Amino acid sequence: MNAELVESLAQAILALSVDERSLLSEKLDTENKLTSSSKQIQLEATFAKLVKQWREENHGVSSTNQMSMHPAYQQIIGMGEAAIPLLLRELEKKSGQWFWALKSITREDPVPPEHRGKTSEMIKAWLKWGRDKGYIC
Amino acid sequence: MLGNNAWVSYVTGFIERDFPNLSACGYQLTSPDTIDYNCVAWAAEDNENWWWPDAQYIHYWPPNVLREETLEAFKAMFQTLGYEVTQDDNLEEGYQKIAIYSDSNKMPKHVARQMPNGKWTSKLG
Repeated sequence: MNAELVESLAQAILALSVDERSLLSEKLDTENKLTSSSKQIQLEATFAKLVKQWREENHGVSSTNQMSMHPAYQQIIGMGEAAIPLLLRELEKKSGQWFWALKSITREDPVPPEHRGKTSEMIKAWLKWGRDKGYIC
Repeated sequence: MLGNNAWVSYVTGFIERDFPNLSACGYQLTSPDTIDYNCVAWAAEDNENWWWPDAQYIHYWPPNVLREETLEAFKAMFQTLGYEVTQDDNLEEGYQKIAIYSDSNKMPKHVARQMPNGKWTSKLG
């Protein structure tokens, strides 16, 4: 860290008028939003690539354990909370068995025991959970 | 009609990539792809559930059967449905047979069911 630069910037900011500080704040906000938006786009692209790889390499797999241990699936789990809305969207599309990933990331399971394995009911339960938690509309 | 030409071409591509012997033996696509059920469910004549003794208790596995990925657990599970162990895959009148495929570690990977005409049906995935 360049302590001298930080110090001189702090001095410059302290010398600004109220209007100038407000203008600076707006500019920093815009910059932060652009960075955040760019990160989101990158995250979604990575997620889509991993989903595609996982689907292509698990067409004939029946084992829940095997498909969930696939490297692409594990990388999706590794994306953490940011992947939750994306996983819920994939569930809506019925693109794959994303329940293990959701359960691993959230440490929750909204599926009642009597609906375990019943894919359509499991999807309904997770989508309701996602709406209740504000991850999807 | 089972999907459009693009779908058939896509599915045929990965089936013959992953199961090259099928091209020589012959096979038929009989239903669209779905995540509603898997090969175990299909063998058990259930097309609404995904059956697997997974470690996270996500999918269906009949109660009172050992929940583990072993040939013994799979045999025990199918025995609860009325199946008995047999050594051959010949068509026998009055019997419906299923085949459990496992890897070199005897870990089940796939299940197929024999139809009354002697041919085998299974769900991929």
